[in-house]
Amino acid sequence: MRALVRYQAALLLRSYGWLPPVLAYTLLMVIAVSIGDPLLGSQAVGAAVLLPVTAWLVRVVVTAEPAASRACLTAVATAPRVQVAALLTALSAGLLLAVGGTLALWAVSGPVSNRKVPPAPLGAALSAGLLASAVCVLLGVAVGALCNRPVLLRGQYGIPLALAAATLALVAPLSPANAAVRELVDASRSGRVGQPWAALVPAAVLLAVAAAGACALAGRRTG
Amino acid sequence: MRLDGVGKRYGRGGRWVLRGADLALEPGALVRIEGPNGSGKSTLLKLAAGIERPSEGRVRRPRRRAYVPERFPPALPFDARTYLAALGRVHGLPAAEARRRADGWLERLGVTAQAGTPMSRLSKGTCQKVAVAQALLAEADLLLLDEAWTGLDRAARSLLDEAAAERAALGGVVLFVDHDPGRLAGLATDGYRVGEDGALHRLPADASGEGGAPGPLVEIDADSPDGPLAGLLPARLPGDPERTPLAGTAVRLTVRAGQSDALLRRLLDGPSAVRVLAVRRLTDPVAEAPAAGQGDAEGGGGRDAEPAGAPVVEPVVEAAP
Repeated sequence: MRALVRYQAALLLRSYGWLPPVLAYTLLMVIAVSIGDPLLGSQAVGAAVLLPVTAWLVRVVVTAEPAASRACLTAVATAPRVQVAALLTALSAGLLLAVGGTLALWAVSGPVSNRKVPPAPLGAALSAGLLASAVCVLLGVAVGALCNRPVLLRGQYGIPLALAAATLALVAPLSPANAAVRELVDASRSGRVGQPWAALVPAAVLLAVAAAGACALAGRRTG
Repeated sequence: MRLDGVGKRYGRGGRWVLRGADLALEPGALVRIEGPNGSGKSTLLKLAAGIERPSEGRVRRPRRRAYVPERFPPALPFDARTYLAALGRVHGLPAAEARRRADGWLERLGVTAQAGTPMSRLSKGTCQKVAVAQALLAEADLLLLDEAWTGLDRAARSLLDEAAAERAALGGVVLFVDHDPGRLAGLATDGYRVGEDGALHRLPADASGEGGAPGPLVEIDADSPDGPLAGLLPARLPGDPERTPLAGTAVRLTVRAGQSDALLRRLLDGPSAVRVLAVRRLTDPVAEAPAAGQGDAEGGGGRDAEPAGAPVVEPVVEAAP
């Protein structure tokens, strides 16, 4: 599995398929966040943006390989394992982006929380931001797993569906991503930072279910 | 490798490409799959490889598999060496071993000079060589060749012939599809045809093959200037000829007339430098070829029958030129 993930990561890196999603992430962050904004509020935006961006990364990884070389890879490693490796690759890329984004926001942000409330501790704010980002990345991978091959065989519906699913995952009140982002917003307003651990577990479960479903379907028509 | 009542159709309500296909292959099988275009040969190979899932029936396959497609895409963002080393690791080889085997196969296929060139800049044939290397470096138990010879040069084609025969001789199962009816003639242990009904039909073994009618015998005297021929020749030769050492490094191969064409082709096309000294038909011993270099030999007799399957199970001796 390590060799498979390494192969897919090399494919992602060398094909420059990561560039459009990362550019989109950067662009959205530049638009939404100004230098000197409170850290927790910026992190809430960053985590929310990560969800559709990670879903996009999944799409890039899953479609990076031409059919013939994918067939060779599948013969060697079996379709479910290739699918798991693709999702793990996208997950790693998303988490890397989450860490990079958090560090960048820390560098450019002003106070930790809103100016009118008592200042929140920086360490707690950073870890809360990272956790919320991780929740959004997990859900982004789940959305990507469900909106691409092998679950969705028709490529043209994948993008609008993924966008709709990502939006739903962010705004639905029961969604772990919604809970995690809301927690950051509340922390910024109140100055009391809570860690969104409670959202991480259901996010991981949702991803596991989505990934298991996608892998069970892998091996359907690959061409 | 085993297929039990395997059927495949693409999409619900689609046409059945394969239906009720049964196939049971023992280690050492080198099997040809025939059929017209669109009959499901490629689908059969993909099912065997686990690339496609059967719509019905069961496929049992060995754990270590390798597949060569007909056309290999140059659209990969790797160079040949990096790609092969990465695939070797996916095959489960340690990194150093994967790199070593990748370099070994690149050298054997004559693409060492382009090993560091991005694959998008390689020619079609060179890309196909990379696809072949990708499959061969793993020494898989199940090797699937889907018109893998397409676009290869002559040397690479005979190298792939050799490698496929060696895989089978070492206890692997090899399934191949190729439009050249002479491909691996005399070496294939079996042949199947994908029928109109989507099932597999065993091809009749050629009458001149082993177990068939005893035809006239043909003697082929061959010599290798590089050393003792008996050691250089692959153990698995078309028609399983009887070998008698002659003076010096020469050897006499006695084979049924029906297999002599395939044997000659292999001697002359094979990787080892073999000089055919004489070809004699034993019932009317006349046709004597001059002792010239490679390619000058004339197939005396044996033009009357098509060479076909003769099962041989012997390990192949590595034939270095």
